[in-house]
Amino acid sequence: MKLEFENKEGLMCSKCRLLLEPGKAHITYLKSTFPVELLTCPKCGEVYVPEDLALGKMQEVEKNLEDK
Amino acid sequence: MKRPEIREYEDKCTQNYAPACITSCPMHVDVKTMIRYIEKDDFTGAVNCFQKNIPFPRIVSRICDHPCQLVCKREEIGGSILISKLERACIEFGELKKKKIKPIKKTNKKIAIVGGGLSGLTAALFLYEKGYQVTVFEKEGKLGGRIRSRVKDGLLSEELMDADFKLLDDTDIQLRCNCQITDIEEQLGEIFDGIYDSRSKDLLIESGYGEDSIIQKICDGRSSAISLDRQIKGVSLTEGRENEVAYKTELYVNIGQIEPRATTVTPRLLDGLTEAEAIKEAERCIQCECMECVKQCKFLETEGSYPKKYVREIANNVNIMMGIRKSKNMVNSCTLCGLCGEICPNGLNMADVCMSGKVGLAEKNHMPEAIHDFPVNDMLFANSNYFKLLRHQVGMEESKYIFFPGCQLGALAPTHVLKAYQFLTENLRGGVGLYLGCCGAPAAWSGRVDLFNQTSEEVKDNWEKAGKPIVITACATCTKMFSEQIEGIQIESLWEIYDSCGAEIQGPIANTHPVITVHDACTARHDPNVHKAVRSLLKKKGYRIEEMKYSRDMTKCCSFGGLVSFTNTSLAKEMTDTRAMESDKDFVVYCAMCKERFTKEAKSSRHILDLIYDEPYKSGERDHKYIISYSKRHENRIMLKRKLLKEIWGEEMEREKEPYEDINIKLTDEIERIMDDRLILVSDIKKVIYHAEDTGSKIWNPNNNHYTAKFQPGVITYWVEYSIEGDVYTIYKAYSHRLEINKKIEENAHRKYRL
Ligand code: SF4
Ligand code: SF4
Ligand code: SF4
Ligand SMILES: [Zn+2]
Repeated sequence: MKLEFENKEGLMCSKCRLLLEPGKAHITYLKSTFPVELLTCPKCGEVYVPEDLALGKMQEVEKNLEDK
Repeated sequence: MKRPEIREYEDKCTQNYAPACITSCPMHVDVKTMIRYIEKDDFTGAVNCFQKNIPFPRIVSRICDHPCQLVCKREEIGGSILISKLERACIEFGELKKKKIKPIKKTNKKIAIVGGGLSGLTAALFLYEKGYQVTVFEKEGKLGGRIRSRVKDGLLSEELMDADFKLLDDTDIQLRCNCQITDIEEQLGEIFDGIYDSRSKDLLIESGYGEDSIIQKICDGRSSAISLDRQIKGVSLTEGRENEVAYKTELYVNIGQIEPRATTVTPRLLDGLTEAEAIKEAERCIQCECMECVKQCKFLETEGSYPKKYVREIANNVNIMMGIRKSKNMVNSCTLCGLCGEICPNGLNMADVCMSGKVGLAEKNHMPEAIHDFPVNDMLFANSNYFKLLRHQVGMEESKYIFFPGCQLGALAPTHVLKAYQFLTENLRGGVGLYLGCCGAPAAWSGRVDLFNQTSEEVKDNWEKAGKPIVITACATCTKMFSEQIEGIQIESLWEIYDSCGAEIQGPIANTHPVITVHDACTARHDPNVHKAVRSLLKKKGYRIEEMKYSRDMTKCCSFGGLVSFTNTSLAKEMTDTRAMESDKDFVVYCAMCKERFTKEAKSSRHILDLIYDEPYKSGERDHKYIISYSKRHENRIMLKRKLLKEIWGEEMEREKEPYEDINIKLTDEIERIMDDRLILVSDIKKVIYHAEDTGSKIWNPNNNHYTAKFQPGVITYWVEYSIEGDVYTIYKAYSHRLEINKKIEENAHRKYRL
């Protein structure tokens, strides 16, 4: 699942002082795990989920998994 | 739910049972459907429906003695539907399909039928269809028997009769007219494998409407034929034949709300109706059904069907784990209020079914905890040291009573708790202890049996520790939970006590206050003493009460029950709104959550304590002091505990502060409103910031110098966008999700409230 991969705003990992890049992360919910692409810190792996993503696509996925 | 249990529930719902007209017709003509066709001006559809059960439709449409009309529900409200006349209209205006009867499977068994009247011919057709070689013996020269005499009445004609009997011409049934059988055994016994003498009742399993009923004659023919067929095949004569002939239906039909409407047809014996008359008459049909519970419950209505179907669906889905989604939504949309159980003539209570569905889903791990996370955490908070308190009355060593105000009153109206406690200690002898906490309802309502039992156990322990005092509750749900869970507990409602010993609550000037209505709490449905006390109190305060139709044991839920306002917000809103519209008077409620729901959906309402303590009150005005954010409710509880401890027991509230609590945040009203909608607490936000600043894990936006960080204290992940000026954190965004990212499990340190 591709969720977000453009760092238009130039967001940075505060700890590592590096620009976030599209990277791999995992999502787990109700015993399902699947990979996603999100903006992440290339060094420490810190992820970023913007508001519209959390309330949009991610909520849809939640509903689907809950309804299974 | 076990299978027999499911059956038991299902069987209680008789909604799908046939109406009286159909069951009292010995041939069970589907009158309801037939009339619906007529109403839609589809006479052909109607006549096909009629013909399905009636072998000789033209004849029956003219001379049926219509026992159905005697039991038609319309009878009491304008007069029975002219069913027989409508059948005649079907024949006259619809296109009768040409029926051809073919044997299912031929046998060489021979059957003799004595008598070519309606019963004999019906039997002949039935047995022919079963594959027998049938011969009919008729003593007259023509078929029809006694009904031939009806021609001279002017209702029937030779042509109509012949047209119906043409059906026999297309079969291999042997017709022997002018053939009198005087000694059956002697004349037929040796040749035939089975004999039906239409003059005898030997093959009937049940008697019906008697000799003069022609529809009974047809039914007798069919019934006897079934018996004969079974006899020949050597199978049980009686099995599965319960409702074969006319019977009394168990369908419940409430005609109380239906406008009386008389027929517009001028009675005339011989003529039929015109098409227009028939349609008008059909429109009077009330299309009998029950649906009593569905009419009063938004949840049942929204699902689009009726309890019998729901029981099966929920039970099946939970048992075989298929179609989970539908049943999960269903059980989470029921407020567990029990009104349906009161309404249903057979007492089917969907609350039991939905509750057992919730438990079943939770047991099998199919109820995501995230769905009920917020209210369950709210319960945990109320039972944590932030709020929990257990004390004897100051200066006493024991308690005859203990006041349990519940978790919500303290959150929404903390000063009421203070005043009520003061009132109790001043008016009751023997010591009134105080117990702050939550009864555990949110755990029960989310199907989490273990957590609920654990909570109830704790309450029970504390009650025992206090010396098993009489518990005084201010919330009907607490009463219900305790009395169901704790054996030997004695409970009295705060309202009964106010009513019995509250001299000072007398209103100043009687009958100057507005007329109000009482919205009873659904969990107090079976508590008539509470209903009485509340009303008596209101009268003493000078209020006049105009009762709603659905009150006391028939009251409705405000929609908080079952946590529906968390799991199905739109339905909950609809339920609250519908209830609110049942009276234009202000609601007086005696449950803090009822108050919250009605205030939230803008219904003017008052909590009874507002009135007891003469809070300023303008009729028709929404009560803004009850519009309180969830965070503020937490604060209120902490404040209440602190105040009580200090003012009554002279103690300081001992509580280790969580490190995040000192974070200084700045919120706009708008953000606060958004947070409440999204069920995010100020403490959640502080935890995120504390964690981010503590670990340095946060995202920086160089354009506006904002930070975004997340924290997952339990099943929910919270995100906050904020900026920092000095030690003040300004919040711009707060949101959350249930998906867990990165699988990196953060420590739960800030989650668990110390118990
Ligand atoms: S009129 Fe006769 S055939 Fe028609 S429904 Fe009534 S009893 Fe049955
Ligand atoms: S909400 Fe109440 S009336 Fe409706 S199904 Fe549930 S228990 Fe019955
Ligand atoms: S009240 Fe509801 S549950 Fe009871 S028989 Fe009627 S439709 Fe069925
Ligand atoms: Zn980093």
